[in-house]
Amino acid sequence: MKEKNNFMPAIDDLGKFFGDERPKVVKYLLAQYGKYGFGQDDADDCFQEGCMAVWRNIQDGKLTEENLTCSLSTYLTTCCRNHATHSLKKMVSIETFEGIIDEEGNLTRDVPDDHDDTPKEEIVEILIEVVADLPEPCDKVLWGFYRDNLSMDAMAQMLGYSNADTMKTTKSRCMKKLKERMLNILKDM
Amino acid sequence: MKKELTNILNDDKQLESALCEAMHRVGEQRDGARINAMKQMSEDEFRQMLNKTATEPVPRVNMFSRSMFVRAIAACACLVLVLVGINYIDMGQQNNPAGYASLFNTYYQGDKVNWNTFDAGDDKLNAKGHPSTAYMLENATKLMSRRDARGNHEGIRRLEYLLTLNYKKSLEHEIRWYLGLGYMRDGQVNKARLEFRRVISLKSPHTADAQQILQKLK
Repeated sequence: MKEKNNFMPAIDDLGKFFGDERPKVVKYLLAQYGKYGFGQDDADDCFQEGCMAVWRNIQDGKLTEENLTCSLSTYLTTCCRNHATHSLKKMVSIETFEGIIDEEGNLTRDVPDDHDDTPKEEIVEILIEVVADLPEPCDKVLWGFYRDNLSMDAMAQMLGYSNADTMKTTKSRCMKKLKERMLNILKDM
Repeated sequence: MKKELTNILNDDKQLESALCEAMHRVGEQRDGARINAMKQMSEDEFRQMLNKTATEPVPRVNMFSRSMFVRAIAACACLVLVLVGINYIDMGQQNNPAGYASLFNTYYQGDKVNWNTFDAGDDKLNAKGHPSTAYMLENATKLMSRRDARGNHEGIRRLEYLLTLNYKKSLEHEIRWYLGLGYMRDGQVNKARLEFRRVISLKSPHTADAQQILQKLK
Protein backbone atom coordinates (compact mmCIF):
# COMPACT_ATOMS: atom_id res chain seq x y z
CA MET A 1 0.00 0.00 0.00
CA LYS A 2 2.86 2.27 0.97
CA GLU A 3 4.56 1.47 -2.32
CA LYS A 4 1.44 2.42 -4.24
CA ASN A 5 1.18 5.77 -2.46
CA ASN A 6 4.63 6.62 -3.79
CA PHE A 7 3.22 6.21 -7.27
CA MET A 8 0.26 8.52 -6.75
CA PRO A 9 1.77 11.37 -8.84
CA ALA A 10 2.49 8.86 -11.62
CA ILE A 11 -1.07 7.55 -11.41
CA ASP A 12 -2.43 11.11 -11.57
CA ASP A 13 -0.27 11.72 -14.63
CA LEU A 14 -1.55 8.44 -16.07
CA GLY A 15 -5.14 9.64 -15.67
CA LYS A 16 -4.25 12.87 -17.43
CA PHE A 17 -2.42 10.95 -20.15
CA PHE A 18 -5.41 8.72 -20.96
CA GLY A 19 -7.75 11.69 -20.61
CA ASP A 20 -5.73 13.61 -23.23
CA GLU A 21 -5.35 10.59 -25.50
CA ARG A 22 -9.03 9.68 -25.51
CA PRO A 23 -10.39 12.55 -27.69
CA LYS A 24 -7.36 12.32 -29.99
CA VAL A 25 -7.77 8.59 -30.60
CA VAL A 26 -11.56 8.75 -30.87
CA LYS A 27 -11.35 11.55 -33.45
CA TYR A 28 -8.70 9.63 -35.35
CA LEU A 29 -10.73 6.42 -35.42
CA LEU A 30 -13.86 8.26 -36.50
CA ALA A 31 -11.95 10.00 -39.28
CA GLN A 32 -10.42 6.71 -40.45
CA TYR A 33 -13.38 4.36 -40.10
CA GLY A 34 -16.42 6.65 -39.99
CA LYS A 35 -17.01 5.88 -43.66
CA TYR A 36 -17.55 2.21 -42.76
CA GLY A 37 -20.31 3.09 -40.34
CA PHE A 38 -17.99 3.26 -37.36
CA GLY A 39 -19.68 5.49 -34.78
CA GLN A 40 -18.81 7.38 -31.61
CA ASP A 41 -19.75 4.46 -29.37
CA ASP A 42 -17.61 2.06 -31.43
CA ALA A 43 -14.67 4.45 -31.18
CA ASP A 44 -15.17 4.78 -27.41
CA ASP A 45 -15.23 0.99 -27.08
CA CYS A 46 -12.09 0.61 -29.17
CA PHE A 47 -10.28 3.18 -27.04
CA GLN A 48 -11.28 1.30 -23.89
CA GLU A 49 -10.17 -2.02 -25.37
CA GLY A 50 -6.94 -0.50 -26.68
CA CYS A 51 -6.12 0.80 -23.19
CA MET A 52 -6.84 -2.61 -21.71
CA ALA A 53 -4.56 -4.19 -24.32
CA VAL A 54 -1.75 -1.85 -23.26
CA TRP A 55 -2.33 -2.72 -19.61
CA ARG A 56 -2.38 -6.47 -20.40
CA ASN A 57 0.81 -6.25 -22.49
CA ILE A 58 2.54 -4.53 -19.58
CA GLN A 59 1.34 -7.19 -17.14
CA ASP A 60 2.46 -9.98 -19.53
CA GLY A 61 5.88 -8.37 -19.91
CA LYS A 62 5.44 -7.80 -23.64
CA LEU A 63 5.71 -4.07 -23.13
CA THR A 64 8.39 -2.74 -20.82
CA GLU A 65 10.09 0.60 -20.30
CA GLU A 66 13.15 -0.85 -22.03
CA ASN A 67 11.59 -2.31 -25.14
CA LEU A 68 9.23 0.58 -25.92
CA THR A 69 10.80 2.06 -29.03
CA CYS A 70 7.99 4.40 -29.99
CA SER A 71 6.02 6.74 -27.75
CA LEU A 72 3.37 5.28 -25.46
CA SER A 73 0.86 7.46 -27.26
CA THR A 74 1.72 5.87 -30.63
CA TYR A 75 1.62 2.41 -29.05
CA LEU A 76 -1.82 3.06 -27.56
CA THR A 77 -3.17 4.46 -30.83
CA THR A 78 -1.92 1.40 -32.67
CA CYS A 79 -3.61 -0.94 -30.18
CA CYS A 80 -6.89 0.98 -30.57
CA ARG A 81 -6.57 0.95 -34.35
CA ASN A 82 -5.89 -2.81 -34.35
CA HIS A 83 -8.99 -3.34 -32.28
CA ALA A 84 -11.02 -1.18 -34.64
CA THR A 85 -9.86 -3.11 -37.72
CA HIS A 86 -10.67 -6.36 -35.93
CA SER A 87 -14.14 -5.20 -35.09
CA LEU A 88 -14.71 -4.04 -38.64
CA LYS A 89 -13.24 -7.24 -40.06
CA LYS A 90 -11.51 -5.13 -42.62
CA MET A 91 -7.89 -4.31 -43.03
CA VAL A 92 -7.34 -0.64 -43.61
CA SER A 93 -3.81 0.38 -44.36
CA ILE A 94 -2.59 3.29 -42.32
CA GLU A 95 0.96 4.15 -43.12
CA THR A 96 1.71 6.05 -39.95
CA PHE A 97 1.28 3.17 -37.54
CA GLU A 98 1.67 0.19 -39.85
CA GLY A 99 4.08 -2.39 -38.55
CA ILE A 100 5.18 -0.75 -35.30
CA ILE A 101 3.56 -3.49 -33.25
CA ASP A 102 1.87 -6.71 -34.29
CA GLU A 103 -1.62 -7.79 -33.31
CA GLU A 104 -0.29 -9.46 -30.18
CA GLY A 105 1.24 -6.20 -29.04
CA ASN A 106 4.86 -7.16 -29.69
CA LEU A 107 7.15 -4.50 -31.06
CA THR A 108 8.17 -5.39 -34.60
CA ARG A 109 10.54 -2.61 -35.51
CA ASP A 110 12.05 0.59 -34.31
CA VAL A 111 10.45 3.87 -35.19
CA PRO A 112 12.68 5.27 -37.93
CA ASP A 113 14.98 8.00 -36.81
CA ASP A 114 16.57 9.97 -39.61
CA HIS A 115 18.19 12.60 -37.45
CA ASP A 116 21.88 11.94 -37.82
CA ASP A 117 23.27 15.09 -36.25
CA THR A 118 23.99 14.67 -32.58
CA PRO A 119 22.88 17.87 -30.88
CA LYS A 120 24.96 19.50 -28.17
CA GLU A 121 24.08 18.33 -24.69
CA GLU A 122 23.58 21.85 -23.31
CA ILE A 123 21.18 22.73 -26.10
CA VAL A 124 19.18 19.57 -25.47
CA GLU A 125 19.04 20.44 -21.75
CA ILE A 126 17.62 23.87 -22.57
CA LEU A 127 15.12 22.35 -24.98
CA ILE A 128 14.04 19.78 -22.38
CA GLU A 129 12.93 22.70 -20.17
CA VAL A 130 11.19 24.42 -23.07
CA VAL A 131 9.32 21.37 -24.40
CA ALA A 132 8.15 20.31 -20.94
CA ASP A 133 6.05 23.45 -20.76
CA LEU A 134 4.75 24.24 -24.23
CA PRO A 135 1.51 26.22 -24.59
CA GLU A 136 -1.59 24.79 -26.31
CA PRO A 137 -1.90 23.77 -29.13
CA CYS A 138 1.88 23.64 -29.69
CA ASP A 139 2.10 21.16 -26.86
CA LYS A 140 0.12 18.56 -28.83
CA VAL A 141 1.38 19.56 -32.27
CA LEU A 142 5.12 19.46 -31.61
CA TRP A 143 4.93 16.39 -29.38
CA GLY A 144 2.80 14.60 -31.96
CA PHE A 145 5.23 15.41 -34.74
CA TYR A 146 8.62 15.01 -33.08
CA ARG A 147 7.91 12.43 -30.40
CA ASP A 148 5.01 10.37 -31.75
CA ASN A 149 6.23 10.51 -35.38
CA LEU A 150 2.72 11.22 -36.60
CA SER A 151 2.08 12.30 -40.16
CA MET A 152 0.46 15.69 -40.77
CA ASP A 153 -2.71 13.94 -41.96
CA ALA A 154 -2.99 11.78 -38.85
CA MET A 155 -2.37 14.77 -36.59
CA ALA A 156 -4.97 16.85 -38.43
CA GLN A 157 -7.52 14.09 -37.84
CA MET A 158 -6.58 13.66 -34.20
CA LEU A 159 -6.50 17.32 -33.29
CA GLY A 160 -9.52 18.30 -35.36
CA TYR A 161 -7.79 20.40 -38.05
CA SER A 162 -9.35 20.59 -41.50
CA ASN A 163 -6.36 19.20 -43.42
CA ALA A 164 -2.62 18.58 -43.43
CA ASP A 165 -1.88 22.05 -44.82
CA THR A 166 -3.56 23.75 -41.87
CA MET A 167 -1.60 21.45 -39.63
CA LYS A 168 1.66 22.45 -41.33
CA THR A 169 0.85 26.13 -40.82
CA THR A 170 0.13 25.55 -37.13
CA LYS A 171 3.33 23.57 -36.75
CA SER A 172 5.43 26.33 -38.30
CA ARG A 173 3.77 28.88 -35.98
CA CYS A 174 4.63 26.65 -33.04
CA MET A 175 8.23 26.40 -34.17
CA LYS A 176 8.29 30.18 -34.30
CA LYS A 177 7.01 30.36 -30.71
CA LEU A 178 9.57 27.80 -29.64
CA LYS A 179 12.32 29.92 -31.19
CA GLU A 180 10.98 32.99 -29.41
CA ARG A 181 11.23 31.17 -26.09
CA MET A 182 14.74 30.12 -26.87
CA LEU A 183 15.63 33.68 -27.83
CA ASN A 184 14.37 34.85 -24.44
CA ILE A 185 16.60 32.28 -22.77
CA LEU A 186 19.49 33.53 -24.89
CA LYS A 187 18.84 37.11 -23.76
CA ASP A 188 18.88 36.08 -20.09
CA MET A 189 22.23 34.32 -20.48
CA MET B 1 27.16 28.31 -25.38
CA LYS B 2 25.50 31.57 -26.48
CA LYS B 3 27.04 31.13 -29.89
CA GLU B 4 25.77 27.56 -30.16
CA LEU B 5 22.28 28.61 -29.18
CA THR B 6 22.35 31.42 -31.74
CA ASN B 7 23.57 28.98 -34.39
CA ILE B 8 20.85 26.48 -33.65
CA LEU B 9 18.17 29.17 -33.89
CA ASN B 10 19.37 29.94 -37.40
CA ASP B 11 19.55 26.32 -38.49
CA ASP B 12 16.12 24.65 -38.63
CA LYS B 13 17.54 21.18 -39.26
CA GLN B 14 19.79 21.34 -36.23
CA LEU B 15 17.00 22.76 -34.10
CA GLU B 16 14.65 19.94 -35.16
CA SER B 17 17.30 17.37 -34.37
CA ALA B 18 17.83 18.83 -30.88
CA LEU B 19 14.08 19.12 -30.38
CA CYS B 20 13.63 15.47 -31.30
CA GLU B 21 16.32 14.45 -28.86
CA ALA B 22 14.85 16.57 -26.05
CA MET B 23 11.35 15.27 -26.64
CA HIS B 24 12.48 11.67 -26.80
CA ARG B 25 14.31 12.04 -23.51
CA VAL B 26 11.40 13.72 -21.74
CA GLY B 27 8.95 11.36 -23.42
CA GLU B 28 10.87 8.25 -22.50
CA GLN B 29 11.03 9.39 -18.90
CA ARG B 30 7.31 10.11 -18.78
CA ASP B 31 6.33 6.93 -20.63
CA GLY B 32 8.60 4.85 -18.40
CA ALA B 33 6.88 6.24 -15.31
CA ARG B 34 3.48 5.55 -16.86
CA ILE B 35 4.38 1.95 -17.69
CA ASN B 36 5.61 1.41 -14.14
CA ALA B 37 2.44 2.95 -12.74
CA MET B 38 0.27 0.69 -14.91
CA LYS B 39 2.33 -2.32 -13.92
CA GLN B 40 1.36 -1.74 -10.31
CA MET B 41 -2.35 -1.30 -10.97
CA SER B 42 -4.86 -4.10 -10.80
CA GLU B 43 -7.33 -4.51 -13.65
CA ASP B 44 -10.12 -2.99 -11.56
CA GLU B 45 -8.01 -0.03 -10.54
CA PHE B 46 -6.99 0.54 -14.16
CA ARG B 47 -10.59 0.29 -15.40
CA GLN B 48 -11.71 2.68 -12.68
CA MET B 49 -9.12 5.21 -13.74
CA LEU B 50 -10.12 4.83 -17.40
CA ASN B 51 -13.77 5.37 -16.56
CA LYS B 52 -12.86 8.66 -14.89
CA THR B 53 -11.32 9.84 -18.17
CA ALA B 54 -14.54 9.02 -20.00
CA THR B 55 -16.63 11.56 -18.06
CA GLU B 56 -16.17 14.28 -20.65
CA PRO B 57 -17.74 13.22 -23.95
CA VAL B 58 -15.94 13.89 -27.19
CA PRO B 59 -18.00 16.47 -29.15
CA ARG B 60 -20.58 14.70 -31.31
CA VAL B 61 -19.70 16.85 -34.29
CA ASN B 62 -16.92 14.36 -34.92
CA MET B 63 -19.46 11.63 -35.57
CA PHE B 64 -19.01 12.38 -39.22
CA SER B 65 -15.72 13.32 -40.77
CA ARG B 66 -14.55 16.85 -41.38
CA SER B 67 -14.74 16.37 -45.14
CA MET B 68 -18.39 15.35 -44.84
CA PHE B 69 -19.04 18.45 -42.75
CA VAL B 70 -17.43 20.65 -45.41
CA ARG B 71 -19.46 18.87 -48.10
CA ALA B 72 -22.66 19.43 -46.16
CA ILE B 73 -21.88 23.16 -45.81
CA ALA B 74 -21.05 23.36 -49.54
CA ALA B 75 -24.33 21.62 -50.42
CA CYS B 76 -26.28 24.08 -48.24
CA ALA B 77 -24.45 27.00 -49.85
CA CYS B 78 -25.33 25.67 -53.33
CA LEU B 79 -28.96 25.27 -52.33
CA VAL B 80 -29.08 28.84 -51.03
CA LEU B 81 -27.46 30.11 -54.25
CA VAL B 82 -29.99 28.23 -56.39
CA LEU B 83 -32.88 29.59 -54.33
CA VAL B 84 -31.48 33.12 -54.48
CA GLY B 85 -30.97 32.73 -58.24
CA ILE B 86 -34.56 31.59 -58.79
CA ASN B 87 -35.81 34.40 -56.60
CA TYR B 88 -33.61 36.85 -58.52
CA ILE B 89 -35.12 35.81 -61.86
CA ASP B 90 -38.62 35.89 -60.42
CA MET B 91 -38.06 39.31 -58.91
CA GLY B 92 -36.88 40.62 -62.26
CA GLN B 93 -40.04 39.36 -63.87
CA GLN B 94 -42.30 40.63 -61.11
CA ASN B 95 -40.79 44.14 -61.21
CA ASN B 96 -41.17 44.14 -64.91
CA PRO B 97 -44.76 44.92 -65.81
CA ALA B 98 -45.95 43.42 -69.07
CA GLY B 99 -46.25 46.92 -70.59
CA TYR B 100 -42.55 47.63 -70.22
CA ALA B 101 -41.66 44.25 -71.68
CA SER B 102 -43.83 44.82 -74.74
CA LEU B 103 -42.39 48.33 -75.19
CA PHE B 104 -38.91 46.84 -75.03
CA ASN B 105 -39.82 44.27 -77.68
CA THR B 106 -41.25 46.98 -79.92
CA TYR B 107 -38.21 49.23 -79.82
CA TYR B 108 -35.32 46.84 -79.27
CA GLN B 109 -33.32 46.28 -82.45
CA GLY B 110 -29.93 45.48 -81.05
CA ASP B 111 -29.87 42.08 -82.72
CA LYS B 112 -30.43 43.64 -86.16
CA VAL B 113 -27.58 46.10 -85.95
CA ASN B 114 -24.23 45.30 -87.52
CA TRP B 115 -22.03 46.86 -84.91
CA ASN B 116 -18.86 46.22 -86.94
CA THR B 117 -19.75 49.09 -89.20
CA PHE B 118 -19.43 51.44 -86.24
CA ASP B 119 -15.80 50.58 -85.61
CA ALA B 120 -14.42 50.17 -89.11
CA GLY B 121 -11.15 48.33 -89.40
CA ASP B 122 -11.12 46.74 -85.96
CA ASP B 123 -14.06 44.51 -85.20
CA LYS B 124 -13.18 43.49 -81.65
CA LEU B 125 -10.16 45.35 -80.40
CA ASN B 126 -9.40 49.01 -80.89
CA ALA B 127 -6.00 50.47 -81.77
CA LYS B 128 -4.85 50.19 -78.13
CA GLY B 129 -5.78 46.52 -77.92
CA HIS B 130 -8.85 47.14 -75.73
CA PRO B 131 -12.30 45.85 -76.65
CA SER B 132 -13.89 48.36 -78.97
CA THR B 133 -16.99 50.30 -77.93
CA ALA B 134 -18.96 48.66 -80.74
CA TYR B 135 -17.87 45.18 -79.63
CA MET B 136 -18.84 45.82 -76.02
CA LEU B 137 -22.13 47.33 -77.13
CA GLU B 138 -22.84 44.32 -79.31
CA ASN B 139 -22.21 41.92 -76.43
CA ALA B 140 -24.36 43.92 -74.03
CA THR B 141 -27.28 44.14 -76.42
CA LYS B 142 -27.02 40.43 -77.20
CA LEU B 143 -27.40 39.73 -73.52
CA MET B 144 -30.39 42.06 -73.28
CA SER B 145 -32.12 40.26 -76.13
CA ARG B 146 -32.37 37.15 -73.97
CA ARG B 147 -35.76 36.38 -72.48
CA ASP B 148 -34.63 36.15 -68.88
CA ALA B 149 -34.24 39.11 -66.57
CA ARG B 150 -30.73 38.01 -65.73
CA GLY B 151 -29.49 38.64 -69.28
CA ASN B 152 -31.07 42.08 -69.18
CA HIS B 153 -29.40 42.86 -65.86
CA GLU B 154 -26.02 41.74 -67.16
CA GLY B 155 -26.52 43.83 -70.31
CA ILE B 156 -27.34 46.89 -68.17
CA ARG B 157 -24.30 46.27 -65.99
CA ARG B 158 -22.02 46.11 -69.02
CA LEU B 159 -23.44 49.27 -70.56
CA GLU B 160 -23.08 51.13 -67.25
CA TYR B 161 -19.49 49.93 -67.12
CA LEU B 162 -18.90 51.00 -70.72
CA LEU B 163 -19.96 54.53 -69.80
CA THR B 164 -17.19 54.67 -67.19
CA LEU B 165 -14.58 53.87 -69.87
CA ASN B 166 -13.09 55.98 -72.61
CA TYR B 167 -15.83 54.96 -75.02
CA LYS B 168 -16.36 56.15 -78.57
CA LYS B 169 -18.35 59.38 -78.18
CA SER B 170 -20.16 58.92 -81.49
CA LEU B 171 -21.75 55.81 -80.00
CA GLU B 172 -22.88 57.39 -76.74
CA HIS B 173 -26.45 57.84 -77.99
CA GLU B 174 -26.57 54.07 -78.80
CA ILE B 175 -25.24 53.13 -75.39
CA ARG B 176 -27.79 55.36 -73.67
CA TRP B 177 -30.62 54.19 -75.94
CA TYR B 178 -30.08 50.52 -75.10
CA LEU B 179 -29.42 51.35 -71.49
CA GLY B 180 -32.78 53.19 -71.39
CA LEU B 181 -34.51 50.19 -72.96
CA GLY B 182 -32.86 47.87 -70.44
CA TYR B 183 -33.91 50.05 -67.51
CA MET B 184 -37.44 50.20 -68.84
CA ARG B 185 -37.66 46.43 -69.19
CA ASP B 186 -36.35 46.09 -65.67
CA GLY B 187 -39.01 48.47 -64.33
CA GLN B 188 -36.49 51.20 -63.43
CA VAL B 189 -38.66 53.85 -65.07
CA ASN B 190 -36.97 56.96 -63.65
CA LYS B 191 -33.54 55.85 -64.82
CA ALA B 192 -35.01 54.91 -68.20
CA ARG B 193 -36.57 58.39 -68.61
CA LEU B 194 -33.23 60.01 -67.85
CA GLU B 195 -31.46 57.97 -70.51
CA PHE B 196 -34.13 58.64 -73.13
CA ARG B 197 -33.87 62.38 -72.44
CA ARG B 198 -30.11 62.15 -72.98
CA VAL B 199 -30.71 60.25 -76.25
CA ILE B 200 -32.90 63.14 -77.41
CA SER B 201 -30.34 65.73 -76.34
CA LEU B 202 -27.65 63.87 -78.32
CA LYS B 203 -29.80 64.22 -81.45
CA SER B 204 -29.76 60.46 -81.95
CA PRO B 205 -31.53 58.68 -84.81
CA HIS B 206 -33.56 57.13 -81.94
CA THR B 207 -34.89 60.56 -80.89
CA ALA B 208 -38.39 59.99 -82.26
CA ASP B 209 -38.63 56.58 -80.61
CA ALA B 210 -37.29 57.98 -77.35
CA GLN B 211 -39.92 60.72 -77.40
CA GLN B 212 -42.65 58.17 -78.04
CA ILE B 213 -41.53 56.03 -75.14
CA LEU B 214 -41.31 59.05 -72.84
CA GLN B 215 -44.93 59.83 -73.75
CA LYS B 216 -45.95 56.27 -72.91
CA LEU B 217 -44.02 56.25 -69.66
CA LYS B 218 -45.85 59.30 -68.27
